[in-house]
Amino acid sequence: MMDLEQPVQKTISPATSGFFGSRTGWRQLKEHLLLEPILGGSRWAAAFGSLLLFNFALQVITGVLLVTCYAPSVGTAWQSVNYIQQEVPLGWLIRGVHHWGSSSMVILLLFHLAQVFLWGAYKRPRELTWMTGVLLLAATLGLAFTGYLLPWDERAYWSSKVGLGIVGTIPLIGERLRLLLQGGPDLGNLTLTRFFSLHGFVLPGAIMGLIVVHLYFFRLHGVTTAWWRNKADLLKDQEPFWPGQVCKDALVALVLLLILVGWTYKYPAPLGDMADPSKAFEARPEWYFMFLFQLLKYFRGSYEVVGTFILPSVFFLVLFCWPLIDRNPLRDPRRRPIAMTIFGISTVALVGLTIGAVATDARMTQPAASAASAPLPKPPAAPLQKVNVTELYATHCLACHAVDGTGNALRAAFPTLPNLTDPAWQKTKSNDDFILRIHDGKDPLMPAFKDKLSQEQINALATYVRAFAVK
Amino acid sequence: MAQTSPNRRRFLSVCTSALVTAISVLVLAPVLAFVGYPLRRKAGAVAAGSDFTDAGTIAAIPMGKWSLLPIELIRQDGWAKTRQARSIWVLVKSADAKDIRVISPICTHLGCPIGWNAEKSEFLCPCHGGIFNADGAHIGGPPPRGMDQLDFEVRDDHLWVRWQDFRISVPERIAVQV
Repeated sequence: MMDLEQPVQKTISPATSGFFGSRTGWRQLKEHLLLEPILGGSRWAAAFGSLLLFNFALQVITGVLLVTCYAPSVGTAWQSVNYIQQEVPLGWLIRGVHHWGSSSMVILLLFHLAQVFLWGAYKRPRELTWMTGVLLLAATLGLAFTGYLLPWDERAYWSSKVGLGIVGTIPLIGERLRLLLQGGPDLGNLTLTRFFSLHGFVLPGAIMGLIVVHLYFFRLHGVTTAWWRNKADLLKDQEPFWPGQVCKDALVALVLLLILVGWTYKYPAPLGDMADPSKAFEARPEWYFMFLFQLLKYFRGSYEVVGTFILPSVFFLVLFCWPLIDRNPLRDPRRRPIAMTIFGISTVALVGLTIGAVATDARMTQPAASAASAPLPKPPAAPLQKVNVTELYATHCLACHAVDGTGNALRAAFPTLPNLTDPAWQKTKSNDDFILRIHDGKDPLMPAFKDKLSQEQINALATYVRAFAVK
Repeated sequence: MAQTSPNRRRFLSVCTSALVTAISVLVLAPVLAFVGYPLRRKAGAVAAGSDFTDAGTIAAIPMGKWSLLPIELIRQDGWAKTRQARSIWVLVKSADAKDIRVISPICTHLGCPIGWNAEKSEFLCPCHGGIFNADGAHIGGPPPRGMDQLDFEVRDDHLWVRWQDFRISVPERIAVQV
């Protein structure tokens, strides 16, 4: 007969006694979680990490709520999102906070990254904290990309088409990876369910796991102290996490919450027309992918892969491995000239590309111009035939612009008459420019058609004229 | 900071607890409103007569015995109007269509579909053994009330039925609003 193992008698302090306390040890847990001393005391600058955690928690809460009313299929995605936006009480708020919360998440992540970089907080022994942080950034951008498709409006459809086109440019595996993500030969039901699974389960799960590891490393090594203060000074100011730091964390969290709610109230989350693959649309990524959008303009043809894959991958790889590359033990930014130069160049490049993309946006009229793998949408056959656009063109436009759109016959008399077939000229105009020009005309020669044609006819003519430059 | 007095620390603790509670309430209140809206949704106004469904010609219904007829409703289901299939127990007693009975097959106990036992001339619920007589009145088993009568009209020799759901597990007949 085996002896039963004697239960180990643990000493329980009087404070932990009580039914619940002695069974759960919640007091020790609380002490461990909340009363951990912070070297140097509480700081506003240390609130970034917990602010990100709060933002992520908001995304999870609002995301779970959205799932209760969302159905990922071509026939229901847009309708259910519209239902959330229009019908469900506070649906506009929940969806708005989720939508804008993704932007604030990216902004806060970038600030957190910059702060840690400037502070030298990635240096020994915190290399792995930094690396899990970079993985968190990648997973967050993945969430942003996969979440964008789910409402299935025009923006969602075309942006994801371009995004998947970019995936397709990755050497060797690109096309297979694209098919794997897309779930079929074209964007559709299977793309929605796959993106939904990634957005709602896979990536949030990965992020939660990474957060646990990230926080574990953070607690293991403690908060990174100011480099200009000595140990004795820091010890003198030491205080527990609760309540000082929690109070600061909670205040910034409250500010973020109020900003998100206020912003949503003023700018409701957009929901465009339902995706219609037959309709031309000027695809734009969300602002935080605009740098990539702009980058792609500089790499054409066989060099395109440099912009779509090589540069971003190198950037992320260097970012990830940065603590292993930068072995300079000093944390004072003034004594880290190389790191600061690289930081400056990267910041200027990212901000510059983003500003450049927004500033020159009018020229970027077609998704095809930004990603070769996203084909220029064909002029929609059905609507054009419905309004009989060739006849419209013949009646109203042909006299000046000529049957082929060149306007060559009358150019001598009217030097400002554009050649509609010139791709370079077309590129300087957006679809809206065309619609506006036909609608309002332009002095002295181009007449306004707003009183002669319906909006549908004008739209069809704009698409027709747009197609002149398509070879 | 390390030299803060216990009083100051206690005050800060209280303030921080209040702040954290306030944030939790701010976040949770909209959450409850969003998830809980089916509880406080106003009953939809259903115009009289507009919700009657055509169950087919009376001539096509077998005379003198209970038959289960399929009907189709069009209802707003979340974000979409959908076609929904239901069935109804119908008894046409005489050829002049004056004596017609229409009852819902949904058991008043827990909502199972009730079947007709021709041998015993009884309605029998297969789930928990509720028994109703040939008029739909409760005669045995757990159901709290008899089977639910449905409103109907005869228009141009067609049977038009107003499908309604009734609260289950209660002795009173209370229509569930859509």
